[in-house]
Amino acid sequence: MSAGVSGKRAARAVPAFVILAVAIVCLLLFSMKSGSISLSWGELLRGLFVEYDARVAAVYDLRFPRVLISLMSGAVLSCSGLLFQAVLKNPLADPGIIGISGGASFAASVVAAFFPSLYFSAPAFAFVGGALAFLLIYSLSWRGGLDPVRIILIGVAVSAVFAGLSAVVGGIGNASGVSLTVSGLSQRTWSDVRLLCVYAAAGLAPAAALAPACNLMALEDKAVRGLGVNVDVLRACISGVAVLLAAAATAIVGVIGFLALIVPHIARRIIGSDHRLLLPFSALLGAFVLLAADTIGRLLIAPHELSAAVVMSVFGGPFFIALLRRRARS
Amino acid sequence: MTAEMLSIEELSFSYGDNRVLDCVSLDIKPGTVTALMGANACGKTTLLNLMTKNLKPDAGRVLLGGRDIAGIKLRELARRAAIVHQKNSAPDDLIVKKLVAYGRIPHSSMLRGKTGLDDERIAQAIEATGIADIAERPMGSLSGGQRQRAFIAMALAQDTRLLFLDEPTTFLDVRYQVEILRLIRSLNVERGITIVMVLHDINQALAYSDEVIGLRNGKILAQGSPREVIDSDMIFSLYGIRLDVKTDGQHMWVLPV
Repeated sequence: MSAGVSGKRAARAVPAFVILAVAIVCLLLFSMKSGSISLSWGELLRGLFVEYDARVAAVYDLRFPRVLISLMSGAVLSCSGLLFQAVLKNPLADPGIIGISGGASFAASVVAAFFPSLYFSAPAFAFVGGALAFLLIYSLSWRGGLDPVRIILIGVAVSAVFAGLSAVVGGIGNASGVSLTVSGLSQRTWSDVRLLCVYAAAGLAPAAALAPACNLMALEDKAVRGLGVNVDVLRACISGVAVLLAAAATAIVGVIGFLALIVPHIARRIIGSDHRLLLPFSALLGAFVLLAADTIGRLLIAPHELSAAVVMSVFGGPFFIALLRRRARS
Repeated sequence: MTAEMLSIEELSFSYGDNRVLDCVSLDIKPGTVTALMGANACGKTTLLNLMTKNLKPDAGRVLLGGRDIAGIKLRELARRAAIVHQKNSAPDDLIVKKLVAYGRIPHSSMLRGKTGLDDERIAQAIEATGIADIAERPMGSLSGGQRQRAFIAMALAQDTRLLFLDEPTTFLDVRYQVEILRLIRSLNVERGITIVMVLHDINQALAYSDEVIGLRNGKILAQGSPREVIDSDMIFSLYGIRLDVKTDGQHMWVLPV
């Protein structure tokens, strides 16, 4: 079925994947050795594979999980954004901006504040929160059709409400002496890695299976129905997986905006709009971009840290404005 | 192949309080080209959407081969009737041939890949719509007429005996309008496909159809061959304006001035 990709883009796909994979490996190694404990390549490799080294062990326990979580949540969030864009037929949809992550984060913060023993089900609760936010946004935006800008406006409002609610819950939680670290990539452990792994796999596998369906969603709903496909069921499935992906990432790393907007956009430019290539490419590119953002945040004003979410906002905000302006012109 | 019999029995539909179709009954003659005529908002497109399960009727039935389509699965319906909507979208970088191949979805299954029959039907659809030379091009590079042909080809690949078209000539230059109408006529003549289309151009409806159905305020005012049912009075009833209807030996037309 390679006919779906134009010859030029197909020829471009292989080198694009290879270059991106190499870039991820390079960034991964750089990110592992750089930071408040700075290691040389030799120290890093010897400490990992040859003999015990206390500094490498500290890096292994603290920095490796963080790096892996950056990669995974970057991949997961980008795929989530891509699915939302397909299902809402809206190139501006981003789970962080339209409040899906806000709903998920709120639910996760409730669990963290009041039911800390349920930590391992936090992504499941986040899913419920994200799904509620999605239904809210969808039903509020629907006027016989989905106007892209209306979704964004409603979504921003929903997002703000959930951010406020999360702050309230955070305040109550802190007053009761429970510390909250629902946001950010610092202080992540190997148990977070394992948790995210499970939920990422549970979201990415069906996402991959739905890639051809995402291609169909680019046609008008009526045309899809004319092909004998129940477009409403399809939309519900893709939305569900998109919410699951956003919730999994948000439960672990908090709300990160713009990533899921920018990454699919750039990926589409490079690889084209066939989701069978676009989805894996967005996953890789998202992994790269979030790790880059987190690494920059760690190193830029050391010994202080910027969260990856802040770095993404600083770079992503202007990008989003540029996209809005271009849409307004066309 | 047997032609599909399509009948409508006492069909009613409302958007809220606005009754769009009011107890409409009609039969589509198999193997003919039927044009739905009438002023804007007379219920033409609604009727088309009801016949393809895009809308559910408030009352009445649509019968395909004697069976109520409410009881026919979307997938089976898509193997028996195809529709080309007025508004279509596709990614700019989608290759035309790939779009046409979507037409095979009602016949495909998850478990087996594309078959020889699929390839054959896709090739036939491309051939019949005259888009062989642009089949490898991306959708974004096509003209309006070429795009419309590509979407008609997708519908043809569904390999149905019944084809619905909603204003297939809108947004096109006159040259492409005529080309599309000739194409539709040839699909009817050469492949025996029953065609039901909404046309807002009176003269195109008169020239390219065997049967016309005239709708006004959700009711059928006229059904039959253009020569039998269309005259100046009927045009006035349908469109609310008095126009002369001219005929010569072959053609029939109105002068909308």
